[in-house]
Amino acid sequence: MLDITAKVIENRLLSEKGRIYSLTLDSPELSKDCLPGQFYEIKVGGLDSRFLLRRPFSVAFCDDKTVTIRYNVVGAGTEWMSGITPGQMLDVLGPLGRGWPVDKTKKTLLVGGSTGIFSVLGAASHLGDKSRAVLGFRSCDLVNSVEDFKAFGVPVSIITEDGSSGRKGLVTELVKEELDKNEYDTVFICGSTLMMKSVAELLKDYDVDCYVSIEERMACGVGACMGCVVKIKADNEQGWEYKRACAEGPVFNAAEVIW
Amino acid sequence: MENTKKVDMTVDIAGIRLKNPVMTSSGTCGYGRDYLDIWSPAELGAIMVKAVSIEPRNGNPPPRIAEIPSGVLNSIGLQNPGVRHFIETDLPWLKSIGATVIVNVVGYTADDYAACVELLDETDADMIELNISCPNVAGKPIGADAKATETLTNQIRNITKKPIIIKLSPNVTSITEIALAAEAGGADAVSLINCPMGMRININTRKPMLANITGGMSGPAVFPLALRMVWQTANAVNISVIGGGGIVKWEDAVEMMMAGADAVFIGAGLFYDPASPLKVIEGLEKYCCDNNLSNVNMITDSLITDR
Repeated sequence: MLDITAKVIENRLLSEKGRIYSLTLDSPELSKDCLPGQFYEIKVGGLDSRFLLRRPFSVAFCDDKTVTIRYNVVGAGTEWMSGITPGQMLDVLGPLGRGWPVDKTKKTLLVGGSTGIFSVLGAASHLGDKSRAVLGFRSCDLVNSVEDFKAFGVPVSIITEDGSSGRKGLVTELVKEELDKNEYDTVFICGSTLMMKSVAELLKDYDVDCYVSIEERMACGVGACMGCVVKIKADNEQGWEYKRACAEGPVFNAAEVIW
Repeated sequence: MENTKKVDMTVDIAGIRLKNPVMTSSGTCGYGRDYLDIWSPAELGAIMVKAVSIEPRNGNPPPRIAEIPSGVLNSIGLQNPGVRHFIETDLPWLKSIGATVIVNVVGYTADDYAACVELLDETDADMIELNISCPNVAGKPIGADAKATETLTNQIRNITKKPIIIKLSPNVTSITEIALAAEAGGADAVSLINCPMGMRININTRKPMLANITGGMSGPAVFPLALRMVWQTANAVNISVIGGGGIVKWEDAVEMMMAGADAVFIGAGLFYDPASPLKVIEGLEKYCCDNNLSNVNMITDSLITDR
């Protein structure tokens, strides 16, 4: 974990309707030991401590010198981020948490819903054509990052809730069709809790390992405050315990999550 | 003239000499391992570890965190692995690296507190901080009642010779009344403030932002409240006062000490700037140099109220 100031080299709008941005930092230090599914905590608001909490973002992809995260504007903190211009410096903590168990010997299905696609994009960047992605969006004007999956050699199928791009329906349909091919060893899922829960439920009928990246309201990001807990099965009297999304997660084995 | 004088950063709290007056507060720094890439607990005056109870606790359901302007609202609910686990794993490690360890203790009943302290009394923990003021557990906290505070403090006083710190709640009518009760019960120090209670609502779902509905506020939002209470308390008691609540930068620590704190703690400030403890220590030292103070404790109570 590093606590450093890094220079922004790009903050590009990807979807006007979704207010989705791609932000790239020039930082060989931050990219050095970053694994897909890990995240960074970024200080927002500059010197204005009105925003006490840093914002957590999964790494979308890295190269030797840069780190790219993607975000959509959901509140005052990300609104501030949308105004960042190249050259600006950001305080960044990370990489944090435990990411995807990427394994190139295993055929992996990547399942992403809305902004959850950014975390599985990280896995795509490592797995390349050993993986395939199925991505769900609400409508065509929210579709983004598909070309990036393809650039990493990952075939992509898209489904939208209103049918305005790709098929009409929910991402669970595509997951079922892919799994019925019996090609996959592992499934990585990131999206809304409802989506992850229904995909994880579906996967019980298949012999595949399934991992989910869970989002929870977070404060410290390093495991100290116990703020971002997730209910996980445990070998104790009550059968469960709260684990920290920032430290033991954000990626958990789906079979261990109590939804 | 060249300034070659070195500032004495040590302070005495409850009869124990600390390396410096900067601590990290209970609940924001775990058991000392989480920020190791940035600072070691051994660099601090002391570490106030996450509360421990006689039996492990689950804490409250999530969401446990919501942001507020210049702060954070939390309802962790004292999740912890139990005092025995702490004594077996974290405490020996903290002592081995040279940290001064303040163990925050919590209980449902006076007997719970006593059972915990009996176990800790046989360890090399440096001080005991009785958490009688958590805002996130059901029922009226002991720290909201002067008589109950004095009785509990006295009961624990009879169990251990280790210094006892009482962590005070700001959710009271008179902070000095409770502080004086702690002193009368035999406490060696008071620490304040624990979190004032607050609440947020999501207007789209019409649900509270915290699963537990209410939570404790921390961060710069509570700093003026904390400063006022530390000032009142330091003027009322003769025992050590450890002040905190919203400290993020060294200037905040100087204010807190001027108001009467013998030492300070940083809590939610860690979330904003994880390196803040080291920056505060450095800033205090520089402030002393710049103002010709040979000892950092000369800042304490140096407030001038005459206009």
